[in-house]
Amino acid sequence: MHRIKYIIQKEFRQIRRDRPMLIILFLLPIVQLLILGYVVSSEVKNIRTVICDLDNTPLSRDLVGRLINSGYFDVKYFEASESQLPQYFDLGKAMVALVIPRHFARDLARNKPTQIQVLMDGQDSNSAVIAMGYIGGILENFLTDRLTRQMAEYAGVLDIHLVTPVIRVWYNEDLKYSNFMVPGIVVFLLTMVTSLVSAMGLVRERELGTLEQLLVAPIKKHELLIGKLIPFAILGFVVLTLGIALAKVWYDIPIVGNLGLIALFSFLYLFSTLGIGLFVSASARTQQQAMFMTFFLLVFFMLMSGFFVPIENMPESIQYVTYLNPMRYFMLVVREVFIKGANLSHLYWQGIALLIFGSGIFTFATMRFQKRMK
Amino acid sequence: MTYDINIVDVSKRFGSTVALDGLTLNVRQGEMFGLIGPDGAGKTTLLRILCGLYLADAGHHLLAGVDGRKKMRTVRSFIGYMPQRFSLYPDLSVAENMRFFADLFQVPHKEREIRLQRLLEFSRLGPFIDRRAHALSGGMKQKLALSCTLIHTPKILLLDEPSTGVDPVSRREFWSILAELRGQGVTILVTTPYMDEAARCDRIAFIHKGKILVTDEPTAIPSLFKKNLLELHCRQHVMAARFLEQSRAFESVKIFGDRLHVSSHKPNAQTTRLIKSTLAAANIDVISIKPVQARIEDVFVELLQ
Repeated sequence: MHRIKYIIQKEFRQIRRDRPMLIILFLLPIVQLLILGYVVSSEVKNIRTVICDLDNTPLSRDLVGRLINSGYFDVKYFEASESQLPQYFDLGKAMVALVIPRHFARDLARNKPTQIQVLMDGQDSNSAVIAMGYIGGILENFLTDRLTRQMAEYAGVLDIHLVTPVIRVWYNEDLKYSNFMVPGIVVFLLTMVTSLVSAMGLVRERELGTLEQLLVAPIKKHELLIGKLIPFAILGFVVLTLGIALAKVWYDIPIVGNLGLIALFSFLYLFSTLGIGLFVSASARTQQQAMFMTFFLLVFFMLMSGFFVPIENMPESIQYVTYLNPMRYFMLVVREVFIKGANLSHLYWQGIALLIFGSGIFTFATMRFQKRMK
Repeated sequence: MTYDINIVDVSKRFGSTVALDGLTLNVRQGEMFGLIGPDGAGKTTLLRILCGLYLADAGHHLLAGVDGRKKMRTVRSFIGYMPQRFSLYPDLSVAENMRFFADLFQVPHKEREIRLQRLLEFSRLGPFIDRRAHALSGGMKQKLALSCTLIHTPKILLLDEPSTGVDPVSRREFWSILAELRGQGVTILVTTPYMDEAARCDRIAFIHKGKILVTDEPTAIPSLFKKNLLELHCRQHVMAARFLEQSRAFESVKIFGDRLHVSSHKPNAQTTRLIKSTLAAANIDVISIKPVQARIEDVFVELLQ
């Protein structure tokens, strides 16, 4: 028991003196969180738009005005000639072009069918589809208003009832994307710090040759491993606390659920991440190898966790693969607790999964870690 | 005679490479035993088996009478092992390194500080107690490594090429420290590629291809050389060696520094004549030829053939 304490002591002493490591451990997560929170966003705003209003009537200008006032479109250019439009796309000056045909207002007034042309740059298909939705919505509003007005004029009826959906969003009322992403980033940071740093910490001793000395000391394998891993678990919790504090203070993310629950699940999750670190360090000979191996695993975990891409959007066969990813469960837990305030009764399956993975990975890695040399 | 290290028929292979081939060796209690052999002879493998880092494929070994395979942890508490590349924690100071190893071996804190002081005095590292290990010179690192190995006062010390990469002055100092330890009754098994260090041991063994070829006191080794040996001093000695070898008139021709050692079963006078005539034909001036007593090197070079 005492030996564990000595190893922990030594480990903290070394961490404290390793300035680059300290920066990686604390400054980097903060910077990452501050930057990533803004970068990682699938909200589509400021869509560069060019308008070609060939009609130029009060009605057509009303439509253009609605587009501008929606806040989604950044109308930068007005083009008089339709034939000039392709170059806006070619030069990347616009993503959307709206063409209002000549006689748009007159045709509409005469009840003749009329069309509006919307041209789109489909490279970023996701944004294009979302932009299309916005335009559809704006047009719909435009027409509804017109219809209401017309009916009022013709029939003298002022009170017209159309079906309007009343939408109420639960949990993330403002539909703030950061409410969803920032907890995800916190998860990712915790994963990275604990798996990567623990892997590096053990491999460094192998690289230095100090591991050979530790191995010949009358110390049991579990004492050595516990002593080496506890400091990284503690660091993980520090990073987690830092991340949550930043999410709250900087991003103003509502934390509806119980933080104790987050702590509990983090504890369970750490067995997986530290286990991965241990597994990597049992296989890698140099810190460089350890880093590559960990990054490879991390990218896999991240992509398969629902961090960016919702798991439901993945092909079915891939969805099954995600069940093998401990990060998937923890990601869900953190988001549910943060945003929905889920409690243990909603999450116990995730808890069981994390427990199974944690003990599995940890046991396997411990077995791989030999007290003898290869 | 009590033996502190008994190695019986130990074999170890790595894939198709045989590192140790049924090696048997006994080291007496309190002696300084030198294990000498070329690179790849199996020295490091043997020491690693003794301290439990490798598991032997066959054979067994006892350390102070304790079975090293079955009671690994007991053995580890009374042996000190200093690997070839003993590594310290570069970001910890001299004292912190020593205290850490003391703690690992569960030296009581009071006792720890006493030993720390004694070892610092002993290794003359006292003035550098707070210096980080990475800022020490090669010789000082080696002494710190030895101090860390000694902090739990092991009965048996296993040292793997402790003076490789250390300057001559530090080397001499290091060996005088070892001699002091031997005086205190510590059994020392040390491997070295240097013959002058071998001469400082009580007994030495020559290891080659995983087997012990010969074991004896350093002073007794030369008598194993059964041929007549001449030391030749001449110009262009490398070329001379080639000519003498090509003549096939001698048992062996070896270069030792700027001299040549020529051995033969024939009487010295006859060999001398033969050397002179061979070199005269090659137009190489002989400066001197004299019979010499064989050295440890001569015996080992001979054994290697």
